Amino acid sequence: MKTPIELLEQLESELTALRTKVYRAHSPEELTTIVNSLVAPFPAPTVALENRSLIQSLKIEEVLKKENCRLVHFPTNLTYPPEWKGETEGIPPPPPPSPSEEEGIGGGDRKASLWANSWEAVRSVDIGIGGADYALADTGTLVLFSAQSGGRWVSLAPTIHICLLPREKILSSLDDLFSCLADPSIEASRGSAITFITGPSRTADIELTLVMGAHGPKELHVIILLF
Amino acid sequence: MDIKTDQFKTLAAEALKNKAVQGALATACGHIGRMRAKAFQDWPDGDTLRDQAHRIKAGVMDNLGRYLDQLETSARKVGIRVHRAADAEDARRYILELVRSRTISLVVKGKSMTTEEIGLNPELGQNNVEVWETDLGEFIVQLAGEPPSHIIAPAIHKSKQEIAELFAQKLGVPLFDNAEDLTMVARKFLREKYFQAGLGISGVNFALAENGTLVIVENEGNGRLSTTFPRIHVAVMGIEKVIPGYKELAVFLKLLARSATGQKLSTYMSFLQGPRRPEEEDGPEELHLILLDNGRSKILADPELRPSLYCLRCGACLTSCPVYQRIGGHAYGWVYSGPIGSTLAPQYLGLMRAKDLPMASTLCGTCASVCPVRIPLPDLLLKLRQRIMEQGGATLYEQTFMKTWTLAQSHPFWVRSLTALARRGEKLLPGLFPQGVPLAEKTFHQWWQDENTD
Amino acid sequence: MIDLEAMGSIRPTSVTLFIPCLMDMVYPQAARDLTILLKNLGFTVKYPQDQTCCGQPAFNQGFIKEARKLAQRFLTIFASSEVIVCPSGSCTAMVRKHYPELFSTAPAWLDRARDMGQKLFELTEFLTRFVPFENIKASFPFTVTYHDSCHSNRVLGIVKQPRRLLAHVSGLTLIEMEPVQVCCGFGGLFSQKFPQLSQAIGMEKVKAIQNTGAQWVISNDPGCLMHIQNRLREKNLKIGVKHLVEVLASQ
Repeated sequence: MKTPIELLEQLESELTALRTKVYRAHSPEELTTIVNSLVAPFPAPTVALENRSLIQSLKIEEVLKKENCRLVHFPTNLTYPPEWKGETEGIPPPPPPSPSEEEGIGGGDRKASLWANSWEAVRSVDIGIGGADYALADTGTLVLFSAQSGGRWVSLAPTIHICLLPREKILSSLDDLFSCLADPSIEASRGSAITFITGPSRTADIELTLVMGAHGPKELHVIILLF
Repeated sequence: MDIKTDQFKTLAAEALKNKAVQGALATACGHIGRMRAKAFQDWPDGDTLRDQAHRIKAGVMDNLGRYLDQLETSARKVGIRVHRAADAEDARRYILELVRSRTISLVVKGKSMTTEEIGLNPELGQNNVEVWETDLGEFIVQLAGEPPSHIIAPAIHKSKQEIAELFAQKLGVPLFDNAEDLTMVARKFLREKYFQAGLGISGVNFALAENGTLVIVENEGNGRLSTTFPRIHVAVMGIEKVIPGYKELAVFLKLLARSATGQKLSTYMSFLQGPRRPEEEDGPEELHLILLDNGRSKILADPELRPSLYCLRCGACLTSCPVYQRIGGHAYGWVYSGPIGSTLAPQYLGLMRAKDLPMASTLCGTCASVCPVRIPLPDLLLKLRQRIMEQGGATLYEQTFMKTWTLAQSHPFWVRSLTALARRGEKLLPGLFPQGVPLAEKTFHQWWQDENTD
Repeated sequence: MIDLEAMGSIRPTSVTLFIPCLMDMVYPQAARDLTILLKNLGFTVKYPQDQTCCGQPAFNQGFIKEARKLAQRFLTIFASSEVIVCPSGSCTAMVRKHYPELFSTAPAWLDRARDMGQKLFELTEFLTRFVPFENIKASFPFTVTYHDSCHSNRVLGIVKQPRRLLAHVSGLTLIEMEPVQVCCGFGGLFSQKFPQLSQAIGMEKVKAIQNTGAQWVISNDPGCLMHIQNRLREKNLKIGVKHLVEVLASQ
């Protein structure tokens, strides 16, 4: 049986071996500093946040507003993108683009109001910040319940994924997680998908050369919350 | 894909002459093999888990009908639409009907050997549906118009140079010279497709009968993208993939990635339990599960060959096989290659149509020694050889040779005489035996006789 | 796999030879060396002269009737032998593993097949079990690499035994191949049916042998040895080929 500190260290070691950057935040202030340092290299990043209670309670949105970030939300007024190749019956047609919106599309200046709520923004968002429902120390795996994240895309579509992990969520292994899932109330809280993330996206399909960011996030940063 | 299992000898000969393929295979199989070996070396639980995995699969196959019924009930309960497809045509028809009724013209696919097996892409293409493979290796072979050559590394036979030229030609991008840039080309190109497609198709690694969960395992994220953004997700699953529940899943998940690539776990695992929920921003509105038979129940009904169905599609047997390492996947002429391919092809396609495949093995047993579910592959290949011979699969020459040889071996006089004759023959006609059996001047038997008759 | 430990360690006084057909015809000197070695170790050596083939080539090609016929012949010829030694992993594996499969529906033959599997030993199994190493006084002052035949290694579980024996040969240096325990590509009739494939696999084995820098390659299976010898000859390499028993009989 590992002690909590041993589990924490094991998780950090596994994550590092998986080319994931790990940080410890001992206070909300330290968390803010770490998040800012990750956002700072981008001149005007687009950021997506999970609809998670953890993200809301930590007031991440406010931290980001100070850093010239543009928040991207999953489109709700446009149900599907204009170029959608599927059934269109019953789906409201997209509103015609206004002149100011047309300027912004395809590069050049991004207009915050436009990019905050469109498909182009979603598929090119720079940073996604979310949490995790559990982590598995022996394999360096993050476990996300879609009902708690409010969806799946924030840990999937952005180029960089930042995951805030409360330390008490660290489990020893997959067996422990499955024991948790045996609890009906936990199983009921997971939503339509449990996603297990073990490092950033990777492929070695071209001559076995390891490349990160094949389709999913290129970088994964885990900030372990110790407060 | 065109089935060419009856052309094995020709295809293998071509592969042996292709130096580029030889080089790529050697590097890839060597590397992946070393990673796998390392993962199991540092992991004492491995052997016990493999025994457990074998037992679980055997238990599932003994009760497959019951587990499938249970899966169907659980899946429907969480909003998954279930369709049982008797064969490839049935499965294709279901998907085509879906595509027509929902007016879909763009489909994205995660990696699925089963969808290759049923020949889905060509049929969709014929019906004016644009289909994109999103796994990088599958994307590459799709652009090249070739079938995949390995279960987990589909483009293992292609060099970086070839891929760069392919991308430049087909996608109109500059000629890149490194894997990173080439990967980003694919990432950028496919990104749009995920968001435009009306339908995402995936395979299923495991399906849990107890609660209708579909498990999809991958490294790139294309599986997640294909099954999150399109409005409809269709998961195509061979019926042998059902397992009882989480307890059993733990055993397989611990073995799968280690066996395939030496990783502890694949980068992404998705446990899907139905379409999007009201409180979720994204996820498909409809999730369809196709339970594909396509010959599996026939194998199930055959107790000697039933272990063929235990396969997790990890690719370890391919990577470790001395025959596969020399010729790659294309020579086997079908979706499944290597030792497991040689076992499945005759059963799915017909003994005579694929009769060279079980013969093309030294029975070295390396495949069985790396199989995570301990499928006794050499024994299955031997059984298939017996069936092939029983059904007249041997040439007249082979039959005559074997019968004559057996007769000779039943009578020592003939063995000794024919050996003496052969030795004389080899002296007169060097190279009489194609593989050079250098017969000695005096056999041991003769020596013993001389020593012991004084 | 047979539990040899459970079989007890009563030292036999006489030993019957089962000489594989390939050894009889291609490497008779190895069989002669085996005879002399066993005699020098104090065993009475018997050799039923009627013996021919164990039936493996027929079995491996799927000719079950023919294999069964030869198996019955074998079981009859060796019925009264107490302990049988075979200098080939693949032949031993044929008898021990596959004979019971051949007679799964014939109880009387099945019993005889099972008994035979218990009293038939591959050479290194026999020596490491019944002979104290200091009794084998061999000298072979060369660098050597060892090829594990697939049947020895993966069917019979023989890995340590040949190495322990080689470690006791005076002057011998063993250099392991990397990767180790890889098929040589012979596969019996596979080499006749798929000669190019067989040779290509054999060439990889030759590369591995060359990379060790060893002067000799040793194995316990005459089929593997013959195949490797042919490939070495094709590449004009001056690396010698010997059966393990020849090394153990070297003075």
